[in-house]
Amino acid sequence: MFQGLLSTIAYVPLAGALLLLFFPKDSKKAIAWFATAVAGVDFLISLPLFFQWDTSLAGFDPVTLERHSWIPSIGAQYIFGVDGISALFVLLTTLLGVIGALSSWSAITDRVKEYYIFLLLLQTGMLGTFMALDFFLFYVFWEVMLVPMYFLIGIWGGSNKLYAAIKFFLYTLFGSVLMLLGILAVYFYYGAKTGVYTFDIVLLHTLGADPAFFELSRWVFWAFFIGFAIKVPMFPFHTWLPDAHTEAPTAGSVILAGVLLKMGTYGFVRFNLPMLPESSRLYAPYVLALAVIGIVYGALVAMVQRDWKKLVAYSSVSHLGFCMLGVFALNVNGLNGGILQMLNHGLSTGALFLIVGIVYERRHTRLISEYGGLSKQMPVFATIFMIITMSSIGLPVLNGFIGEFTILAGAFQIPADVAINVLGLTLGGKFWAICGVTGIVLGAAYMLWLYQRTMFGGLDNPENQKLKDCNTREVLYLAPLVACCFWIGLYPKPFIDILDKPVAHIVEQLHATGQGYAELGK
Amino acid sequence: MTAIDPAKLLVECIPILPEMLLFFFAFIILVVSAILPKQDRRWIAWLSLTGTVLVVPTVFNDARNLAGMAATPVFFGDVAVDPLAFYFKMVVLVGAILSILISVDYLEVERTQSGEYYALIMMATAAMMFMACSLSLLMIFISLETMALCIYILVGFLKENRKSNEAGLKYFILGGFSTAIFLYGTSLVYGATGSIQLSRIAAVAVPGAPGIEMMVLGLILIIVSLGFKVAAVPFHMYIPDVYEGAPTAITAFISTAAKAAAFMVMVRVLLAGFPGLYTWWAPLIALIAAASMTLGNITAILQDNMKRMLAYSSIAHAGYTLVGVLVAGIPGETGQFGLKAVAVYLLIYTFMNIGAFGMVIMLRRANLAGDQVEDFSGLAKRSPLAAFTMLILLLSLAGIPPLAGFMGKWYLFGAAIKGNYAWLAVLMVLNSAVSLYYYLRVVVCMYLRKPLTDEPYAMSPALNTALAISLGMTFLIGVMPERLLAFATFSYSMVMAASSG
Repeated sequence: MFQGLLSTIAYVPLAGALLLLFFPKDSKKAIAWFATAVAGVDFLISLPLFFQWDTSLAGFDPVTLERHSWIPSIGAQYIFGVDGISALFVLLTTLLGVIGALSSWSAITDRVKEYYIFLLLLQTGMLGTFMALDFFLFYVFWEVMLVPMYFLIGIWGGSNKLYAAIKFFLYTLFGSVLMLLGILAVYFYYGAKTGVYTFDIVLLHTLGADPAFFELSRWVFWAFFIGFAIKVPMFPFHTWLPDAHTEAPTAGSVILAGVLLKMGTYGFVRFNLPMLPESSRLYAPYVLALAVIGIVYGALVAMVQRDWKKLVAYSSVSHLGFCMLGVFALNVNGLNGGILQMLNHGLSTGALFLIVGIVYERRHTRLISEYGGLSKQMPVFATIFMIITMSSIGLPVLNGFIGEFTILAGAFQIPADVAINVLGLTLGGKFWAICGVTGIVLGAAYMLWLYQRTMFGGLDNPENQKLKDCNTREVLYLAPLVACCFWIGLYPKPFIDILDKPVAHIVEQLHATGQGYAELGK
Repeated sequence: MTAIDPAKLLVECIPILPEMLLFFFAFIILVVSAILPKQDRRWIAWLSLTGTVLVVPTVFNDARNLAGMAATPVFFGDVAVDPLAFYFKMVVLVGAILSILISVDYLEVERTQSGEYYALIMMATAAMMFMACSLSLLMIFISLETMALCIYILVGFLKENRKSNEAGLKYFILGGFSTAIFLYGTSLVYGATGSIQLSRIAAVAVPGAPGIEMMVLGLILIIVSLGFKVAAVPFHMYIPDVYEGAPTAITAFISTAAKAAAFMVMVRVLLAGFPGLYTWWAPLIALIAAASMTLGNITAILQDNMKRMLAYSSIAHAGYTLVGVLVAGIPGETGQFGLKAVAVYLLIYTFMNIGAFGMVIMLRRANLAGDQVEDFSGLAKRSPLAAFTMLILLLSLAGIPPLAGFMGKWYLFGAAIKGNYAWLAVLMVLNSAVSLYYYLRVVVCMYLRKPLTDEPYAMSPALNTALAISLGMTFLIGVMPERLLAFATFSYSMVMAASSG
């Protein structure tokens, strides 16, 4: 690892996109190859973040930290840095980037050049968001990635693409401009207090220990909350998600589900918890309630979907609710599990969208009723789908289990006084955990039912009788995801090790001040 | 008043040399255009462009003398030589130069290439520059009127176009009203304070002063009249018709340079003349700002005509800018932040908006009005670079980072937060999200629809240059804003001293 590594990772895709401009429009194959190669190289460059990571680090890695003056007039700096949490997300992004590019080779035949340019630009935007340690810079990247995603959905999407694209853009923008106000409020508060106007996240985190900041932080919490909750998306801000995920092209869905949604949860971990600890504790019960509603609601709605892709989309709502349950348990187990589950969701739901994409490419329909008995015709495909299904429903040996188990452990540890009273009932940590478990049960139900309806039964539909099994390329891009699912499921230690110290640090910041939830509530 | 010594008059005139020069060039253009044969009229455009560009260094020369003059008012106390005036003169000149650039070939298409057009733009620009530095209500009135008269003619310049004629007449009549209101307000203020010098007005215009009612009434009338000039709700009724009917290049000119100058006057009057009555005018400005941005954005959604859409969007942007003016009135650091927000925003807006109108001009072909949103259909297919330019300009107008528009919005949002106008801040951000909706409509046309015709676009070197400048600045200010911000900081740093001097 070296200084400048992060910028290299972030801008290799951008450079690739610029180079793509010089490719002739019709050399589609060369364009796809080149874009995939760029994403692949980017992934390889990012590997040291995992394999050479110093797990004893609680804060941001000093070796790769970059700090340059950018807009001195307002105190915005160009700061790139990662801790264990963001390092894992960077890796997830680069991995899904390659897979996304590879999966588009045969799916995208129209306006290929523009497609890969947008895909690579999106990659830069996402990587920058995870690396930025300056709030201003963070916001810039956060917004930048909306534009390529808008085009990916709007140009290459399904039948209702325009509606889905604009809904995605507007929804997210509404959230993020409110977040911007929160950022400004923090910025001016810190500036007035210390005389230094800065967006440096590490400095702004110190506000967490400032009792006088509490009044303002309650407002800031909700400003951030709306911005991040829309991205997650939490119930009731989730309505953009089914449209966007369903209409987006396969790679778009993979990246949406795999990376973009994580930015919301990442935002909570990075900003709300350390910067606004008291408000986070104060409002945790409400967030938990929404998270649990999301888990159950998402699962129930997923169950009744007739559209394969929409089912997966709603399952995301449910799974992200799980992540939020973990994060807002506000303890080490919960956070560890929540963050790990974000990775798991990226891997398994990414794979699920790829799987839908594979059959959609062959049949051009997403209706579940159109399929049935595919396991006879496509054994390799069915095997992979089975593994991913098991991962998604949290079967032991696979990654989902580790994440869900840790989250539930965290939820059980929520102190009894973090509760809200509804009609005389005190709904606290254990209650949320129990609700979460029903989510797992429902999750198993809709996933297995989906599997049964599509893979088993008679191969009745004549259209399905000539379906081809996965080709090498398809196996190639699904294999790493399957491998990761097993890896995290069997030996999660390296991942937990990387997360452990930063998570402990955040929990420490969370409980540095204030007495407890109960007193704040009064 | 004692007799004026001619030598002293000459000295007093030095600081207003740029404006005098511009007037002088305008007259030269008039003479040349009378001599030049008809087929060579194009040269007038280049001549006037040269003239306007030549004025830029003289403004800089003024700025260099700033330190020595210690920002004292000159020209018998009526003209400010302060960094703020310098900054806004630059904004106005940028607007004028870009407007001339996008006019050259547009007038060919409209078949009205003539010297008066450019001369009027230059005179209007000179008047705007006076507006930027006026320190007395009378001076403001004269420069305001000079500008307005030039613009009335320019708006109706397409003699054979009914819409243009209608727009000119409408603008003239309503403009006349607004002038009368301004004069009436001035007379009331003069009656109550005994002065038309802003600094002297400021000395007596404090709450509880004798004749405060008359003073406030006068101030309200002045605000109404200036609200008309900056296109704020509810004085905006004429805007869509005028913007649609006027030659597109003139629409670009009045929506940027003229607006910036009017904002400058508003800032000067409110901050230098009535800082003591902040509690009186602040709610009024806040209300106008809120109404402008909300109504402007919501109405813009319904427009199918590109010029009308940009007209409503310009009303909304005036609303945002007014928030900056509002905050600028708060004394101290907060006020400086607000003023800086206004200054930064207006320059950025000039680049974005002239670029957007330049794109509309590109679509104007001899037999095609090209000003409907639909006319942008398939642009990405036929000319990817043009579509990309428009995309960037629109995203910038919507305030998406890392483009210039975002920097401008950032400052205005920041000003609202810093000035404790949280409700305005929330309204602003929600509005800016709404605005994305109609800007994206154009994007959808460009990138997702098939071209309607295969008529070649009206691209020309001059227009391309203007578009390249707009695009370049939109990017540059967005990614590397420090230069501009330092420039703007310089301009607000001395304004307090200057306005009270």
